Amino acid sequence: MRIPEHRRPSALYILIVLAVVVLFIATSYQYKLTDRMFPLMVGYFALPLLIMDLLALTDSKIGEKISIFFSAKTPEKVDEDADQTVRSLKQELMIFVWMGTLVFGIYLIGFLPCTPVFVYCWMKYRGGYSVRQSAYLAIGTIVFVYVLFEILLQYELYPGIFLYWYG
Amino acid sequence: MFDALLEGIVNLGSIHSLLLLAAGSCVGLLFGAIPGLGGTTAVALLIPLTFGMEPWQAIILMGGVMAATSTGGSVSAILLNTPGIAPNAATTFDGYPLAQQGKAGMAIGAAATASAMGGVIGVISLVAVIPIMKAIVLLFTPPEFFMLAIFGMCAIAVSSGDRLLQGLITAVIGLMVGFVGYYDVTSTVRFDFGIPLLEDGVKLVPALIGLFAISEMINLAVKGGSISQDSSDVEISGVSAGVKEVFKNWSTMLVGSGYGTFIGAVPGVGGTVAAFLSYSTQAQRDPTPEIEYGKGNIKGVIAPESANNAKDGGSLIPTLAFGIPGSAETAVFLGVLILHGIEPGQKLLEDHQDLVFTLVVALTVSAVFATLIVLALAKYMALLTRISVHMLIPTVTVVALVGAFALNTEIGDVVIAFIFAFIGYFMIRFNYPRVTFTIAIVLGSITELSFHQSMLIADDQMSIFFTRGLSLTLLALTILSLAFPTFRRKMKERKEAKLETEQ
Amino acid sequence: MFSKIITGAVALSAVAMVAAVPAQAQSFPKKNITFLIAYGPGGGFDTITRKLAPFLKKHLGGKVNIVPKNLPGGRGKKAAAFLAKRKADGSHIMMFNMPGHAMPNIIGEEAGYDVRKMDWLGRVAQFRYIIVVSAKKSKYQTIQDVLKAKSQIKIPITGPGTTGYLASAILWNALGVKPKYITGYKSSSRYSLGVIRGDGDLTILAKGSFKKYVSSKKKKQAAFKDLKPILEITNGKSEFGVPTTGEMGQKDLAILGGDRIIGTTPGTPKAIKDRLAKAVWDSVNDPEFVAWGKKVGRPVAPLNSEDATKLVGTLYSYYIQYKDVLAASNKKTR
Repeated sequence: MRIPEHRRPSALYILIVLAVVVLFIATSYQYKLTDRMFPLMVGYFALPLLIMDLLALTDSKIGEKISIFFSAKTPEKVDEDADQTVRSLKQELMIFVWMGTLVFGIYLIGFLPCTPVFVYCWMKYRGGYSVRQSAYLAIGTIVFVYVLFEILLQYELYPGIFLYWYG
Repeated sequence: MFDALLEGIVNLGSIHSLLLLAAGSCVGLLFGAIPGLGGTTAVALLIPLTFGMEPWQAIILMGGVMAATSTGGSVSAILLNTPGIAPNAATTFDGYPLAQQGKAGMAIGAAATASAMGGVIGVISLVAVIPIMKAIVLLFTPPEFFMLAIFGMCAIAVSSGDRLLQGLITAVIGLMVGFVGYYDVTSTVRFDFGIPLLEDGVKLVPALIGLFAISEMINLAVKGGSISQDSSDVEISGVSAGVKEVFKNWSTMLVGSGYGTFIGAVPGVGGTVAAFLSYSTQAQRDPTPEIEYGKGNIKGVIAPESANNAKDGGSLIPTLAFGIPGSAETAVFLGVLILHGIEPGQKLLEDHQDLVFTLVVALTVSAVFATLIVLALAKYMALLTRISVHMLIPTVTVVALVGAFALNTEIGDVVIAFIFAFIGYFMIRFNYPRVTFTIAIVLGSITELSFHQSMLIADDQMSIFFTRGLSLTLLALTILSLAFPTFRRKMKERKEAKLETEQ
Repeated sequence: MFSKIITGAVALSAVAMVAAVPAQAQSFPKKNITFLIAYGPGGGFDTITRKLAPFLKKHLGGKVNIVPKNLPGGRGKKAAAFLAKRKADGSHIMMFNMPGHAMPNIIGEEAGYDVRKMDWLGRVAQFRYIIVVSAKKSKYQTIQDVLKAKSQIKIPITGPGTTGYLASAILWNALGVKPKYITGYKSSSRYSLGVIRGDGDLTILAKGSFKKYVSSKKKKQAAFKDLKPILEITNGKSEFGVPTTGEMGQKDLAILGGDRIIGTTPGTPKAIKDRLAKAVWDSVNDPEFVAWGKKVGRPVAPLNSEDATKLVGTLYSYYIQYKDVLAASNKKTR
């Protein structure tokens, strides 16, 4: 019983979720009976589901049975029907880093500087637009955000961690 | 009552009132369309403006806002896979695939029309049930809440079709998310891992922003291109086709409006549940769809949109009957009334019937007005799906994050949105349904709370769930909804067998 | 010589400081003042804060805006902690919910603020409780029925440790009744609905919140169609003609209720604090504000800065007697 190469990423995903569920169950035990009753019920219900999902990815007989029971499809058919978009891990990691940097930047120095910088950099370096086009959209976005949120709605947009506590 | 209705119409009859209503409607559309803002924020922000107004003028303005938000929210749900407000989440499931197929105009047309129809039906139902509205509100006690939540989750899990196992998995994970934070029965904070932000639980709006909007932006960034996969020069119109679809599928719209009114009347459940239930009921009523649900079936847009607008009328039922807000928006609306020296509750309907009907008329007119605006602009808005992703991704991401922050001016919510963006992306990547995940977050806490309350009321006797009419009915519906797919499959097999023997 | 210079300098700076204080007070307020609301839009605190803000503006000279801002989170703790950490320049004020906001301090929970250290500007309103039953469904139609009850009384209420729960616990303990609490309702309007539909027998309710269940068309008893009062917690005369705790010889219980007190960041300069306190006092006593409060069943109850500070102390020492009741319900583990 093994998991075919092309289903490995899915299997990894399930294993991560499984780990979260185990952590959840372990945490539940520190609470009083009323407080842990539902979380434990749900947690223990999740375990067999995840294990079945994992088995359905294998090339075994039982995997096929599970797949047919729940979806009326063989695992091969499921593969066929899946989204065929090619996603390289490098590409995905790259985008996570971009997004992560944005959120971290907002946390550190706030929305107002991060907004135009992010829009500009993305357009210029990911979209391949010219400096002028990128700058136009960057300015447009920050004007929209500033006028709508700061002026019209009188929100104090988050100014970054330093100004928030010491400003 | 008729006099009061007349007075309501008269109040709205002047140019000044109509302008107020139009202003409210436009604000509602805008606030509905930008994720994170929503109707509650809009009404709260407009409060200072109403200080100089007569109460009925304030009511017209607020009515205008409230009736328009979910119409605005449907536009971003369809075009950007971003529910503008939580009740629009169910609209993304078929609305966004339609946009990807180049049919954004049609989807918006249908959504806007369904919204108007739902809104009007909701208000009419409200007026019709005024004599019996107290009884309706009192029907729902903790055992009924419990059964309703169970019914909702089962109906929706079943509607995830051939991804049933994965649907169940995301549902249980959603329930776990719902357990995070303060639990009202015991006043305990659970699963907060020492993070103060989690004390209040994972808030729905930032989670939805991450789960739908930002995750889709990540997905687009990985895939490239533009939202509309249809690169041919097919004219983006079809708005009128969408309008026609609503009238063609009038039963879908009626059922949706019914769900909206009824569930809107139950305080604490709300438009999100109504929209999801309407969506899953539609998917079940239509066993052999021409286009699979979740892949761009127009009925999957009509069902939730008629429900989430009808709930505006429904959520006023507990407000008028007992002065209890049926939704977050009505809570703020009640605040506005109090600011103007009007005490909600019993006295509202006794002493201020004219104001009640002014609101009724304002809600109706605004629902229609908002729809007309959206229909007029739909063609241009649909062009958004043609824009290159590299212009769309950074702008939508940034505005969505600002929206997540604006909800409670809480930077932690931005982090929550970010985390859910990853969860959402992996759910897209590995084809795990987000429908069940979302509804489980909403219904999880209701299930647990109403179960424990029922046990407290009944001194731990489980019989409380089986000895009450409505609770039993809901149980029967749950069993039916679970048995339905199996029954359907058997019927299909029998048919096929019959065909084979005949050959 | 040198010491003379120092003395001179000290004297001079002292003069400068003394001179600076009124200057500071005169120039205050220069910037907009944020009026924090510890809860989301739509509740009682939200409404009264928004109503009060324009009056404060008027009585502060009308040049700067008082900007109400919702900062919900941690059941009110987040906004209070935020206020406590501001620069002490009177730029932020907030209406506190007492005794609710004191609870984390009483049980020794980390809250980020201490109600005993806040600068108090004055009280806006207070509310007192009544006990209500369902007018149609309840087995108990008078307080005597409850006291003589054979079966256990059931009370729908918010979670353990909340003010409503605590007030109930103290009251019924004093009256020798051992009820069962049906907890988990999110607000008083939710648990009132619970009583109307028969989830439980009776509950405790702020008088102001009760008024919306009273019909205006009918007089007295007939006006109570859904909820009906059976006991009022007061040492005075009952507004609804029902027995009071005072009449039952429970004079101590009259402290139970809620007070809405405006506070600002600890360490605010006296001049600024006095200016703000005066504005609060003038606003709360503004005839227009008083009339509004009366009309919507939320009558004002002004207290000046000094008395409000004393009241916070009194409340703190009263409720700390019940620390164990509170702490037990807040304990996480078995």
